[in-house]
Amino acid sequence: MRILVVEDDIELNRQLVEMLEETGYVVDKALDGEEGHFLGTTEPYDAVILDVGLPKKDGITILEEWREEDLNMPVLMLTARDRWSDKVAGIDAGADDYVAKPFHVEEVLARIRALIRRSSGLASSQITCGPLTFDTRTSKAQIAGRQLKLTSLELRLLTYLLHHQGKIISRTELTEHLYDQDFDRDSNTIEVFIGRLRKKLGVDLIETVRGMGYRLQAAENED
Amino acid sequence: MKTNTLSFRIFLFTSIWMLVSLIVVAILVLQDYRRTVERQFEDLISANLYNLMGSITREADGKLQGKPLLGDGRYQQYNSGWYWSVNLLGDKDINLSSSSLAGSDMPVLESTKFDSDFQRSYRIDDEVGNTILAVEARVYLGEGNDIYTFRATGNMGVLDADISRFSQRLILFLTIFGIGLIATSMAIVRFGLKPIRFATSQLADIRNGKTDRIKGDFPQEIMPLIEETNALIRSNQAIVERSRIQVGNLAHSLKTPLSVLSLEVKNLPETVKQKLLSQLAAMNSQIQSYLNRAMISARHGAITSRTDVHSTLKRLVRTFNKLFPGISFEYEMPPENFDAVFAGEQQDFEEIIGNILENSGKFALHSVEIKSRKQIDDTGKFVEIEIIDDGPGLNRSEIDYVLKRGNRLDENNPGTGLGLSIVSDILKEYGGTLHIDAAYIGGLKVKVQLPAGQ
Repeated sequence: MRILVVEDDIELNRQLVEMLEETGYVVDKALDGEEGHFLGTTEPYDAVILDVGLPKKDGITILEEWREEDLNMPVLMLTARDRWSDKVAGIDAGADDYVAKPFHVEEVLARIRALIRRSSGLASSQITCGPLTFDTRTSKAQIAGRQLKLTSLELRLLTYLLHHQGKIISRTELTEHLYDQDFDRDSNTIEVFIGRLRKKLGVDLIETVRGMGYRLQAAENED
Repeated sequence: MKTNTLSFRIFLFTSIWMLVSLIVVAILVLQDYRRTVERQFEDLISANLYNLMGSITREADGKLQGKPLLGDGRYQQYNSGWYWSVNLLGDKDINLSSSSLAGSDMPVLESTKFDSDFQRSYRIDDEVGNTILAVEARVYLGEGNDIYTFRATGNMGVLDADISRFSQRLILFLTIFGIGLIATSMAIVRFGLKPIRFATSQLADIRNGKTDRIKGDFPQEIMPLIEETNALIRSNQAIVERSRIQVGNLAHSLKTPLSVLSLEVKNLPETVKQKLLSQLAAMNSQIQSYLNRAMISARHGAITSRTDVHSTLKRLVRTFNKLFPGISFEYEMPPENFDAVFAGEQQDFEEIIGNILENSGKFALHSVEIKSRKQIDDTGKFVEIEIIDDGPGLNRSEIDYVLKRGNRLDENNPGTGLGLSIVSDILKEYGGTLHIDAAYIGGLKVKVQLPAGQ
C-alpha cells in the first residue's frame, strides 16, 4: 500500500513518514502544495494524508483539483483549524476523513487503515480469503490458524492483493503500489516475491493470469 | 407615543405653539366681537332714544304727550329690561314712561358724566337684576326753558346670549381647526421622520439577519449617517473575519509543533512518555479552550448575519454520512420550513450542530435522526433542531456532567471533551438554548433552539 504525505512542517512530515513506514506502508512525501498536487496527480496512491494549511497551494484547492480530475484515492485531511466549518469545507472538497492536530499515532493509523479498507469495499478490519485471514490493525496474517512469517515486502504484496481480491492486478500496478517513487523498479522481482509468498501460504490462492497479471482468489469449493 | 423621541418633541412644541396661538386668537376675536355688538346695541338704544325724543311733545299746560312707536314689543313687557322714560328735570311728577316700567322708578346711575352733547350712557342693574344699557339725553322741549331727561334702555342679556352663542361656535371651530392642525403636524412629523424610521427598521433587519447593510434612497441630510453606518458594519464584519483568521493561524502555528512533540515522545521510556503526553494533552486543551473563547469574543456584539438552515444542515448531514460510514444520518424538515434562517453566522451554526452530530455519531448504534422546523413562541421566532441517536443514552446526572467544560464520560472515543461546552458558549452568545433528554429510541435527544432571522 502506497501512501502520500503532504505536510509542510518538515519534522511532522518526517514523523508521519517514519510511522507509516514502520507499519509497512510505502510512503512518498511532499513539503508543499504544488509538489503534493503533482505527486497525487502522477502517482497511484492507495491513500493520501493531506494537511490543509500548505504553502504554494492549500490543501482544499489540491483536493478539489484532484476530484475534478477524477482521482478518487481516499484522502485523510490534517487540520489545525478544527472548527466544524473547516472540517465541513474539507469534506465538501472531497476529503474522506479528518484528523485534528495534535493527534495520536494510533488515530492516524486507524483512520488510514479504515479509509483504505472502505475504498476497497471491505467492511471489517479482518480480511479473509479462504483459509487466509489478515488483521489490518496488527498486520498479522494467519493461514488456517497458523501465523505466517512474512518479510515487509511480502506483507505489502499480500496486503495489496487482499484489498483487491478477485481482481486481476498487473505487475506494473503491483510495482507502483509496493515501491516508492525513488525505487529502481524492476517488474521481474515481483515474480520472485509472488513465488515466495505462494510457498509461505502453502495453499494455491494466487493465480497467474497469463499475459495480464495476478489474482488473489479463494478456490470455489472453499468459499 | 414615547416621550423621548424626535416625533414627540416636534409634536409637543408644535402643539403648545398652536394651542397658545389659538387661545390668543379666540380672546382677541371675542373681545372684538363683544365691542362690535355692544356698539351696535348702543346704536340701537340711541336710535330708540331719538325715536322717543321725536315722538314726545310738550303741551301748552306743560304735560307731556305722545306715543312713541319703538317697534319693539319688549318695551311693553313688564320688567323686561327694555324701558324708556321722560322726566322734567327737577320735577318728578312730570314724566312719561314705558309700560314695561309699570310705575317703578327707572334705575339711574347719577355718577356718570354727560358729554358735550348732554348725553351719557351706562350700565346698571334694574330691580329684577337685568343688566341694562341706559342711554340718556337732556334736551329742551317745547318753547320753555325746561330741561327734560330722555332715557331709553335695552336688556344686555340678549347681548350676552348672543356673545355666548358666538363664543361657543368660535371655540368649536377653533377646536376643530386645532385638531386638524395637530393631525397635520403629526402627519408632517411622520412623513419627515420616515427615512429615519426606515433606517431603524433596516438596522433591526441587519440584527435579525435579514440583510447585511442599510439599503435605499435617503434624504441628503441623513445620507452621510447611513453611509457611515454601512462602513461601520463592513468594518465590524472585517474585524470579526480578521480575528477568525488570526485565531486560525494561531491554532495552526501552535498545533503543528504540538503534533511533532506528541509523536516524538513515542520512543521515550513509558513513564516519561505518559507524563509528557498528559502535559501535551493539557496544553492542547488549554489552547483549544482559549481559541474558542477568542472566537466567541470576536463575535461578541458583532452585527449578525444570516444562515440558511436547510442547505447548511444538508451539507452537515452529507459530511457526517461520509465521516461515520456505519451510521445513517437522516435529515428531515417540513418543505414549508425550507426558508428557515438562523440569525447568526454559518460558522457558528456549523460549530453547534457539528459538535452535537459528532457526539451522536460516536455513540449511535445505527442511526441519527435530525429534525428541524421553524417555531414561534412568546419570546419570538426561532429555529428548532432535534438530534436523536439510538445509542446507549445518558441519565440526568451524566447529562449534567457532560455539559460542564472539558468533561467526558467516554474516554475511549477521541475528542477533547470541549464540544458541548463550546456549543453552550456559542448558544449563550446568541440567546439560544440546549436541552438534552432521553430519546424514544433509547439514546439521547439533543434539542437546540436558535433565534430565527426573517
